[in-house]
Amino acid sequence: MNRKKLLATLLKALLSILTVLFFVWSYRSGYYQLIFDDPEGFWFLFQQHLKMVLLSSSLAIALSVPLGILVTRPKFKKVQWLIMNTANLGQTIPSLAILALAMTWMGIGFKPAVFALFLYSLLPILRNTVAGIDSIKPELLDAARGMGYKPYQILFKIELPNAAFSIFAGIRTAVVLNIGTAALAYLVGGGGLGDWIFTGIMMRDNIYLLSGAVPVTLLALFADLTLRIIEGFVISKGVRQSVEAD
Amino acid sequence: MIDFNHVTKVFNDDIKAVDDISFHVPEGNIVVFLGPSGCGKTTTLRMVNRLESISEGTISVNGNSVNELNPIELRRNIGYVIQHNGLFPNMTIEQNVMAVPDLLGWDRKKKKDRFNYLMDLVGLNPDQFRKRYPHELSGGQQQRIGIIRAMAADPPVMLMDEPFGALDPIIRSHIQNEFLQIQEEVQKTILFVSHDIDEAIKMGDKVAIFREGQLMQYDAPDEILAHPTNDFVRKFVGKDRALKSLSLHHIQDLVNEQHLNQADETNKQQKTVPIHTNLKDALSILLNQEAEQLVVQSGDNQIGALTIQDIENYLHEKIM
Repeated sequence: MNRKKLLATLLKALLSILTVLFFVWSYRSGYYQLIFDDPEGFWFLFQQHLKMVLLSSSLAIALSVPLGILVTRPKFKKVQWLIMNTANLGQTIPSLAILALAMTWMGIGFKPAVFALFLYSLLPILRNTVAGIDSIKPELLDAARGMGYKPYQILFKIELPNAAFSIFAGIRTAVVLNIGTAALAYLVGGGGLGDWIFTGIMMRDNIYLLSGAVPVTLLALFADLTLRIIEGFVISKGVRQSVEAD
Repeated sequence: MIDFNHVTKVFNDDIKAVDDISFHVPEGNIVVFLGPSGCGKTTTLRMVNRLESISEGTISVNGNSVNELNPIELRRNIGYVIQHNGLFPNMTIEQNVMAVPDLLGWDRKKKKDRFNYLMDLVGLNPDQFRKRYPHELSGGQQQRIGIIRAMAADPPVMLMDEPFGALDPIIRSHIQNEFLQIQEEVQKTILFVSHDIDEAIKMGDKVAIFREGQLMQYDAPDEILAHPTNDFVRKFVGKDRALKSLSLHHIQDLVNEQHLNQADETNKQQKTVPIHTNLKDALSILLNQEAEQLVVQSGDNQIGALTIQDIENYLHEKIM
């Protein structure tokens, strides 16, 4: 166990050093010059990117979590496989194809990009919500019912708090994926930092490429960190520790 | 206190899980539902707080038919303990124990006092455990919390579904004793599901033996051991029912019935035992050849000497 921990720490340290070295090298080589030369352009694209991610992720959370709750109710247990299979099928379609489909229907611009990202974020959240609620031990629900909890009290006081770890993991996965996938929005005219990335690719210009790609990466890391911090406040210590102990 | 009146439970229109059961549970008694798995004992228990619906017949608590009560109110007034304690991992120990008072809207001061009282009852330090979470506790501690959680709002009736089933034998026996002591103080009416005859004899004021949904015998434990009504009960309680029944009688009972010989002062092979020792333990000491006779002590007085022969006579004349 200790050796494993040591190895993990060493690996982390090594990766961190490499990352720092990469930044120093790329900065010195002037690969981020574009951000400093055109700060307004950068901010415009960055905000576009962020807006797409926030909007599509919020919509996905707003639909997936309630839907996940719904299909875990005893009354709707029978349709659970239908919903889950539909969602799984949706996930097998490549993100690019979804973008293309959205474009044929909604034209080009911001809207189809948000719609495609929204669709793509649904499944991880839905799947984790359902898995989280389904993995709650039946005896907990039996105890709660036997103690006189009403159904909505069971949902809010027992099921959701105990599934929170899984639900949040789903949201985190979806948001981080979403930030990366949003770079493809450029292809349907949705804007965002993808503009620079694709320009960089087409022109074989590292300055464009890295000025777009590195902020996207940092944004994803930052989102992951922020969500983890929020989890620390929202999820009960008892649930986090018992999940980690397993 | 609790009356079962021709209670029947039918699953899926044709499987009779409980078949026309009637009996009365007096206030302050522990009644153990005993039987092999699938005999309907748990279903019978779960019909009392309406976790299972009643197909036919009535169950009444304190004269009120449970079917006419609001199930939520009913459940909040009946303590419920299950085998795997069912503690909520997201809640602290205090929140777990105070779950029902919380639902009932008690104020903070009242909840805190009640928590402290209940924790003292099971010998756990309230301040040490208040903010901890269930997974930080041992199995025995968790089960104690599960029991006091059911007692939190001081319900007159408690349902316990194999509450000690998941514990190892030593801790189980310890918690059983602890629970009996608590019961002397709180005097709840308790329905207790078990598949363990020894537990039933130890815990029950009365034992209800089930088989395939039917009630085979409903009696005090010594009655069941001494006079099983049919072959099933006789087999279920085991060949050693005579020995088991000795654990229900004490030297005091024997002394009340028959005269003991004076202790033979010259005999070196003797041992002194208190008069409240049960006869099974007394017999064990004799069989272990730790002594040839037991000198029975009551307070400071020696009552006389007890031998294997005395115990055998008592068993045959008074018990079996």
